[in-house]
Amino acid sequence: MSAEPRTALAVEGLTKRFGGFAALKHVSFAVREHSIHSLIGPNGAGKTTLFNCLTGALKPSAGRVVFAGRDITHLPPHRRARIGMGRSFQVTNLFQNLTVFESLRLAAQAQTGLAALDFVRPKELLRRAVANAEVVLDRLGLGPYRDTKAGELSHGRQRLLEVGLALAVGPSLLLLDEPTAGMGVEDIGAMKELIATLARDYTIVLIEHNMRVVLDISDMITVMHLGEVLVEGRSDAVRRDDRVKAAYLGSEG
Amino acid sequence: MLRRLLPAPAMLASIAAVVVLPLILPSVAMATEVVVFIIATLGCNLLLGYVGLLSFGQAISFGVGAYACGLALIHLHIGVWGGLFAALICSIIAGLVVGALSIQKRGIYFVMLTFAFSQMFYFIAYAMAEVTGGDNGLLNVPRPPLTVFGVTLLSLGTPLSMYCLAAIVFLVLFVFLHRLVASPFGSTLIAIRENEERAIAVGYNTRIFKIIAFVISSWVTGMAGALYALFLNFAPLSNIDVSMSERIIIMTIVGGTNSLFGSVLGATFYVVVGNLLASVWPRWLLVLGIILIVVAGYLRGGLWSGVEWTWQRLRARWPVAGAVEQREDRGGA
Amino acid sequence: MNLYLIQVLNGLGIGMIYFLIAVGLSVIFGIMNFVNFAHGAFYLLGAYLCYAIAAATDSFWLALAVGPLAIGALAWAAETRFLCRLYRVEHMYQILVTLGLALVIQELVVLIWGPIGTHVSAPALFRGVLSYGDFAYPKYRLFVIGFSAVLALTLWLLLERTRYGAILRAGTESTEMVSLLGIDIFRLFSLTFALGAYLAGLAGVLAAPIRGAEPFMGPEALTIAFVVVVIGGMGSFAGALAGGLLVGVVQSVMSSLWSEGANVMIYVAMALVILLRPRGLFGRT
Repeated sequence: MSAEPRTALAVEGLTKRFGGFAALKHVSFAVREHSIHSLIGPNGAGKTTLFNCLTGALKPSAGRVVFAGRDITHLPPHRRARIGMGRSFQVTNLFQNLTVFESLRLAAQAQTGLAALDFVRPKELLRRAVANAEVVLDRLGLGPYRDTKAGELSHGRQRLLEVGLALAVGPSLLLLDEPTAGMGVEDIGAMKELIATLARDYTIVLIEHNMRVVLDISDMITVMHLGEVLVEGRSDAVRRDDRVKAAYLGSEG
Repeated sequence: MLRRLLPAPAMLASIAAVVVLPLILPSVAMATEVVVFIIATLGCNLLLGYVGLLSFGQAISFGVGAYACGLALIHLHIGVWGGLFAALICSIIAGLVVGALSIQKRGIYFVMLTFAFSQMFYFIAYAMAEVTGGDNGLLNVPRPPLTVFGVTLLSLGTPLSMYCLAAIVFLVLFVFLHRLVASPFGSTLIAIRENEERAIAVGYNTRIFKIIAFVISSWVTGMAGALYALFLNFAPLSNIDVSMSERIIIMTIVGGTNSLFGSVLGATFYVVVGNLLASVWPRWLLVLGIILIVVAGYLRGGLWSGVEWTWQRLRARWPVAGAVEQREDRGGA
Repeated sequence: MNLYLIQVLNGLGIGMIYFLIAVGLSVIFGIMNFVNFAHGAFYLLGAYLCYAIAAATDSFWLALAVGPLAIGALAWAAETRFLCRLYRVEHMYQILVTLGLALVIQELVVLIWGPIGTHVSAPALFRGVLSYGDFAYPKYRLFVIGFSAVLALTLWLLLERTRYGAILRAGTESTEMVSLLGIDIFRLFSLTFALGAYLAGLAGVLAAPIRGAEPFMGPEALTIAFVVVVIGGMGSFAGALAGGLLVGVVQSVMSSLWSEGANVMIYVAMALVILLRPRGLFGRT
């Protein structure tokens, strides 16, 4: 193990206002490389807004997002994938009519720069994209389904493909939005395992509602409430924190 | 191994179509008109079938291509190559301007934007009567022989000769588009059609891809316009009227947007049935209207899906070992 | 000065007609997300039914009362028979089917009444001009402005004060919500489609004494309706009214100043609205 672990992603004073309403108020945190950093909080805490600022879907009103030392606050979404940020969607957002393999190949192809503009050679000859797609297909264990249309997969496998599309981009950072959404118990277990193993090679930022998953695999947890960071710490600390309990129970009471 | 050496079924079918058309149609002139509109429909199909963009701008490229070719031949005396080249340049420029602006919006706004541009170009063409001939159209477009370094390749004086030019341009463009849709660029267009948001999320600058597709579509349709001007020796105002866009869109959807060859079917159907029926019964559009309603309601894959269905049935009945596989050139594996 | 006033009045009259055509198209799109390329054909039918009924019974008023109702009924039949299957389908198929319907209607009109247009006379009550000093203006056009204004007010009351209107307004925001409230969404769609067609037909009847009846006038009406809907805002009643009047007056005034430019300008305006303020004057974001 070498020197101090580096910061893969840093959020500094991030603020987002919609008219008079502040969805995010001066949110700051840092994500260590090769760690699993979870964002949790009751509904309306601002997790989705924050996530959208990280992916480029929204422009913050103030503050910065710094990725690998580079200010990416105003970088358009498609460029973020190109510099190493892969994301998955909370609501399954696949290429319904394309096969699993072709979907992954497309995601990998996007990273080949000008080669994606090639309009003469058959796409199968773009070896880099094909090879990367094979690797991800393998890692996800979706080999038997390579020629199945994404829309025809079971929900659990669709969620896997969701993560797969983020992986195929060849990122260093994975932004996963509720990867276990709608999954059954067994599938959740498999997803949890997958994410845990992925942390060896990637940095992972996770939004999750499933507390067991969050508490089991996270290295660091940022708890949000009403647009602000409430608490940040390791699983056991967060689990026992009174403010966290109050935030969750209070919003349900 | 043999499979690799043979061109794709779609290519073979196109060559066959091009050979057969002048033989089975009542006149070579009709065959030429069919081929011109096949090319225009291919341009529309690229956008509609592969990128998922419904554009009413077909008439813009068709009309601009026709005017550019005609004007170049009349005023610049630069021969057929020059006319085609002028059409290429002008339709690409028109496609770039209209495309870059229209692509700023999506969905119904994109459609309406292309509609607005189409009308704009129409009224501008109408107003610039000194250049375009206005309501009368651009008359007396010459049709000089097609030469290379002084050697005449095609005299273009006979209907068959003109047909050959159209057929060759069609085959070249078909090969180009056939390769394009199977290429990385083509696969990206399909990804954008399937889910643009996801395509952006994985790193594609979808705007650039859409604009390029729009320009290519405009170029292809512009070539059709140029050929039409040569064929008719005339470039009417109706080329650039939004009803021409509607006509081309109809040919595209009726033929089938799932495959490039659908454009061959759609244009052939529309031009042939139109001409034959129109001579028998001037109100043939009534029949067309009913056909459109039926296609939209029951046969959304168009004539192509009918052909596919028949092909599957035949193969189920008589499987041929080692037959060249039916290649889907639209998405999927 | 007089010429200017005449052009403005002309613009108001034609603008109200544009409003009547556009409001149906706008609401149909706003509620049903359905692109209706047959809308111009309803206008066409209106003009021809006006001609036919007035010629047969010598009563413009009968045509005004009955014609649009017949068109509404026809639209209802078409919607419930086959158009309703296409609400969930991509816009291109909606355009295809409504284009087909428009073609069928247009060709039937030619079959019945011939390919050459006819003139339609104004009702006896409003023939001739109204004079004021040395300013004269056709009575019928004044009637159109007045009648349409009353109609617009009635529609507004329908929208704002009746249960149907409330459902309609809610529907433009969320049809899901409306159906969750237990309202038969398909009946709503059918009624709305029929109402839109009725209004377009009414516009055709009103316009006939001014513009005559000609079998190929459908596409032009449709095109102008698109412009008005875009400029006014999709799904908005106020937008259709403001947009219609704006386009009508500008078109009328410009046509005496620079007629070719007038048409180009209208479409430039349409494109600019879509690019810079897609929701138009009064539409929702």
